[in-house]
Amino acid sequence: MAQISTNQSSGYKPEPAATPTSLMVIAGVAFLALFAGWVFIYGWLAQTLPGDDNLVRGVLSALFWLMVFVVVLVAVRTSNIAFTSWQTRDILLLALVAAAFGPLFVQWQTIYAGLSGLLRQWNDIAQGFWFLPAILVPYIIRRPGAALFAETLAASVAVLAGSPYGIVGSAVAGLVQGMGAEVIFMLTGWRRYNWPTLALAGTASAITGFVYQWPIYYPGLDPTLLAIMALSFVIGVLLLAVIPGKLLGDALLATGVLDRFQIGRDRRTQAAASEEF
Amino acid sequence: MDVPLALPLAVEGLRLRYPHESRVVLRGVDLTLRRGEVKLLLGPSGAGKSSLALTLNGLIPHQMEGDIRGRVLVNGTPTTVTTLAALTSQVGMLFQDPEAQLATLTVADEVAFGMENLLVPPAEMAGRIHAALDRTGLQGLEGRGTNALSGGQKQRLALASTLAMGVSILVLDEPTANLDPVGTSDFFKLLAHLKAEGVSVLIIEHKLDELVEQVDSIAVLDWEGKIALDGPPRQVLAEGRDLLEQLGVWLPQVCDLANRLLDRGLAVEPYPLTIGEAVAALSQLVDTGGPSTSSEDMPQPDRSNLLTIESLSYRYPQGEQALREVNLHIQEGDFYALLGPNGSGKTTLAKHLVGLIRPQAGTIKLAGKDLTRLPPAMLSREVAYVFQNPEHQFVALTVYDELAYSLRALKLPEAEVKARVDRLVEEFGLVEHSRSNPFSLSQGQKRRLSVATMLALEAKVLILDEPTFGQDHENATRIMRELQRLNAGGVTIVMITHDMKLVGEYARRAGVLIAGRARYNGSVAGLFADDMLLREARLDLPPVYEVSRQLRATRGDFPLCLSVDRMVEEICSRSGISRAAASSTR
Amino acid sequence: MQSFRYQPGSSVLHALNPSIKLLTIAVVVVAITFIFDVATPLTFLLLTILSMVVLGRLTLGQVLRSLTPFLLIVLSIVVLNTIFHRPLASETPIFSFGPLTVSWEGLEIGLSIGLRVLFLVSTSLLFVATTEPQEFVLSLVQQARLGYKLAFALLVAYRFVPLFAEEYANIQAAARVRGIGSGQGFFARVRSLRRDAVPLLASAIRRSERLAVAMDSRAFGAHPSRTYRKTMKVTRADWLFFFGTLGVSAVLLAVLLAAGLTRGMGVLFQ
Repeated sequence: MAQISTNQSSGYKPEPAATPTSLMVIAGVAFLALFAGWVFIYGWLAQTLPGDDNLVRGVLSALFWLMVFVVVLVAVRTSNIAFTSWQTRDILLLALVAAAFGPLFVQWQTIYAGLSGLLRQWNDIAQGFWFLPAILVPYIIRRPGAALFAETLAASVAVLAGSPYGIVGSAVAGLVQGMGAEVIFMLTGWRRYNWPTLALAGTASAITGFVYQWPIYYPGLDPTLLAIMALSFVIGVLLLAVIPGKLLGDALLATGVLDRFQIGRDRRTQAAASEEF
Repeated sequence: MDVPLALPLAVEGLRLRYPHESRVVLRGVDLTLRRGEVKLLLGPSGAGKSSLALTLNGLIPHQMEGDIRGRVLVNGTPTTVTTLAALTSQVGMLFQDPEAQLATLTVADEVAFGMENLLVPPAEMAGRIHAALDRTGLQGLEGRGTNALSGGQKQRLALASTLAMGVSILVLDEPTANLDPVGTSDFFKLLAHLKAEGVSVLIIEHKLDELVEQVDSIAVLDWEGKIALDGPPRQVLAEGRDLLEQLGVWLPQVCDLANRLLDRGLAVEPYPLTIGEAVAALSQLVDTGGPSTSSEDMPQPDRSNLLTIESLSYRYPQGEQALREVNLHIQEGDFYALLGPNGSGKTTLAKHLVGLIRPQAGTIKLAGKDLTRLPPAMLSREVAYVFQNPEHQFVALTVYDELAYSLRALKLPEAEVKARVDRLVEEFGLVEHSRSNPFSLSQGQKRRLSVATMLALEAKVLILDEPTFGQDHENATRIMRELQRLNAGGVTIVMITHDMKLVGEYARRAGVLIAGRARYNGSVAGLFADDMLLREARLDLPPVYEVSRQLRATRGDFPLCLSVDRMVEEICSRSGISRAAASSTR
Repeated sequence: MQSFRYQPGSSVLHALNPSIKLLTIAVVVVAITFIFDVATPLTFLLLTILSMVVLGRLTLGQVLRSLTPFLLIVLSIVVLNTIFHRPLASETPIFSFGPLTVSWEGLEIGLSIGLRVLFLVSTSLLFVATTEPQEFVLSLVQQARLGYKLAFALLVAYRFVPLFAEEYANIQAAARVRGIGSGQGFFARVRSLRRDAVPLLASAIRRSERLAVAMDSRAFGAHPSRTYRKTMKVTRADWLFFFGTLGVSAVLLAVLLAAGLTRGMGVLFQ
C-alpha cells in the first residue's frame, strides 16, 4: 500500500517589502520639509506678524507643538496597520533590543558626562548615541515602522524605567526622531539598507530631533550657536549612530543570531546570487 | 463523530527541512501519544527534538519557516488545516528558558495572557485563572510580580497559562533545564498530578532519575532524524542501551550503573530503573559474590591550603546580607565543590575570589598572600573564573582571537601567542573551528572555549559556575574529563554546582553555604553522610550513593560509593572479576 | 534615577485613567510652553508639585528628591541660554567677563527656559510616579487605540529592563575577570561599551526569538484583536480632572496676564 503523504509547503511567507503609496510619500516628505524648515518659518512668521502683542507670537509657536502631537496621533493610530505584517519574532526583537539599550544608554551617560568638557559648543555630538536604535533595528528587521517604533520604544522604556527626561524630553523625542529616519527608509520602499540610505536616515533623524529639542531647551539661542548645534546633531548621529549601528548589525550577523531575521535572509539571497556567477 | 476517539497526537512520516539549510532535520518521524500518557523523548542535542516539538502545535509551519512533509494530527485533525488559535487551545508548549516564557508583569495577567489572545470573555477569566493556579500549585500568588518568582515558579506559571487556555496535551521541551534540584523535583511532582487529571504529555528532558518512574513510554530520536526506539521505559533503556550510549544521552544513574555491570558480563536482573530495583538486583550479585578484595577509599592526603577564607562577610548595597562570617579552606590541587541552595551566597563568594567584589570584613589569602592586595591584572593570572553563560565572556570575532585576546593584552610576542593558542585549540578539540565566530559554536564547544580562554593565562585556580549546565551527556563528560586532566596537572578546581552526581563523581572536597554561612568544609564522603545538613541545604544524594547505602544496611561490609566507578569496581571485585578481564570485555 | 518611577499608592492621581491623565498634561504643556517669562512656568511648576503632594499623596521630600538630579541639567540650560541668547533690543548688563555679558534680560530668558524645562520634567514625574505601567499600556490600547502588538512590545521591554541591566553587569564582570579592565579614559570606555554591546544584544536577540515562540504558542497574534482581563474605564472623575485642570490653568493664566507678568516668545525678536 502506498504511503499516503501530503506535501505541504510552508504556510509562512515572508512579506514582500511594502511599496509606499503616493500619499505616504507626500506626507513623509512634507513632514521632513516642515521640520527642516521650521526654524526659518518660525523666524519669518515672528518677524512679519503684525501687532506688538508678544503673546500672539508666542501662541503661534504652539503650532509646532500641535504638529508634534499630530505626528504622535498618526503614529498611534497607524500602529495597528503597520504591525499586521510583522511576525511576533520581529516585534519582540524590537522590544528586547530596546530593553537592552537601557543599560547601554546608562553607560553612555557616564561617557557623555566626561565628554561635555572636551567638545565645548560641539557638545551635542555626544547626543548621537541616543539615535542608535533608529538605525540598528531597521537594519536588522527591514520592515515598515522599524525605525519609528524602535526609537520610540527605546525612549519610552527609558521613561518607564526612570529616565528623568520624561515624556516630553525622551518618549516624544524618540518618536519624532524615529519618524525622521522612517521617512527615508520609506522612500526606498523599505528595500535599501546600504551606507548612503543609513546615512541619510541618520541625518533626517538628527534634523527632526534637533528641531524638536530647539524650542524646548534653547529657543533663545544665538543663530550661530544654533547652527553649530544643528551641525553637531548631524555629525553626532553619523559618528555615533549610523557607523556603529551598521557595524554592530554586521557583528551580530556574524554571530549567527540574526539568521532568521530579514538581514540574514538578505545575506543568503546575496550569497546565492553571487554563487551563480 | 469519531473525534473523541482520535489520538491526542499522531505524527505520520514527518519530514522537516528549514529553508536555506541543506540538512534535513527530520526524516520520517512516526510517533503517537495516547490520552493520559506521559511520553519521554530522548535524543542527542542537535537531533531535532525541539524542531519536532515546534511542529506539534503547528508553530511550524504556521508561524515559522519550514518545509514539512507527512502529517501531524492533533486530536485527529492535521495541523495544516487547523488555525493556530485552535491548535494552541489544544496543545500547550513549554520551553527551557524561564525568563523567555513570560510576557506580562503579574501572575494573574500571565495566566490570562493566553485566554485574552483566544478572545475569552473577561467575565470568565477570574474563575479559570483561579483553577489554573490551583492546578499548578501557585494558588494565592495572583498579585505577585512575575520578576519576583523563582525559575521553577515561572515555569509552572507558564504552564498555568496554557492550562487556562483549556489544553489537554502538553509538549515540554527541557522544562527543568535551568531549574535547581528543588524546582526540578517540584515540577515533576506537578507532572504526576496533571497525568492523573488525564493530561497527555510529551516531554523532552535529560534529568531522568526521578522522572523515569512517571513516564509510560520512551521514544528515542537518533542522529538521522528518525525514531529509533519507542516503547515502555524498561524495554527501551535495557534493550537500547548500546544505541543510547552511542547517542550520548543522559540516563538515570542506576541505568548507567547497570549498563557498566552488564558490560563487564555481570547479570543485572531485572534491569533496574529505580533505586529500589537497583538494590534488589544488586543484592543478589553482592550475595553471590565473594568477599571484597578492593581497598577502602583512600583517605585524602592533607595538603597545604591554597585559598584561605576567614570570617568573610558581605552585605549588598541593596541591603541583602549575602555572606556571614564565612570560613573556608581550599587546598592546593583540590577538586572542590561549592554547594548550597539558590541565594545562599555561592556566587558572591566566588566573586570575592576573583576580585569582582572586595571584602567588607574578613580576609582571603591566596598561598598566604592577601588576595585584595594583588592588582587585578595579576589576580586574573592566578585565579580564573568561568561564567555560567559562556557567551558573556566572548570578546573577539574568531575562536583564535578569543584565545589570543588575554595573551596579546599581556604584550606577549605573536609567535608565543600562536604557540599557546595552537596548543589550546588542540587540547580542547576546537582545531577545525579556530576561524569560526565564538557565538556560532554549539553549546558544548562554547563551554570548552570559555574554559580554554580562562586557561590561556595558565591560572593556578579555576572556578567554574555550573560547568555542565545545559550540556548533553557526551559534552558534559568531555568537559569534566578536561577538568580532571587539568586537576591532575596541578590546577586547583572549584566548581559551583547543584548537581550532586557531579560532586560524587569528580569532587574530592566540598563546602556548603546556607543563608550566607559556611556550614561544611571537608571531604565529599563526610558531606554525603550528613543527612541533616543535606536536607537543610536542599541537596539530594546521588542515586548510586543511596543504592550503596541500602546495600550496606543489609550487608555491613559493603562500602558507601560516591560514584558509579567506585560501585562498579566494588561489585566486580566481589564477584571475582578482575580489572583486566573486565577491560577485555569492552 | 530610582525615585523617578512608579510609586504604588492610592490617591486621586493613581485612580485616574492613564490616557486622560496624559491628555490633560499634554494640553497644559501646549498651552503654557510658549509663554516666555519667569512667573508662568514657576506658577505651573508649583501647581504640579502641589497636585503631586495633595492629589497624588507623594511626600514633598519624594518629589524634591526626584527632581534634584535634574537640577544640574536645568542649571546648564539656564547658563547656556543666559549667556548665548540671540541679541535683544535692550540689555541691562549685570556683569561681564571677556567678550561675554550677562544682562538682566538674558537672565530672565535663561531662567524662564530653565523653569519651563523643570515644569516639563515635573509633569513627567507626576505621570510616571502615579501610573502603573501595565495599566498605562492597557489604557493606551483601550482608550488611545494603540495596536496591541506594539503595546506588548512596550510591556515586554519594560519587563526585561532589570534583567538586561543584570546581564550587562555580568558581561562587564566577565571582562574584568579576563583581566580586561573597563579602563577610565574616554576611549577605553567607548571600547568597552562596544565590546559589551555584542554579547548583550546577541543575548537579547536570542531571548526575543524564544519569547516569540512562547507567545505564539499561546496564540499571541492569532486574532486581529484580543480581550483584556482588566478594562480601563473613563469615568466622570477623569473628565472632572481634565476640565478642572483646564479651568484652573485658564484662571491662573488670566490672573498672570492681568498682573502683567506674562510675555510671549516675541521678546526674542524685538
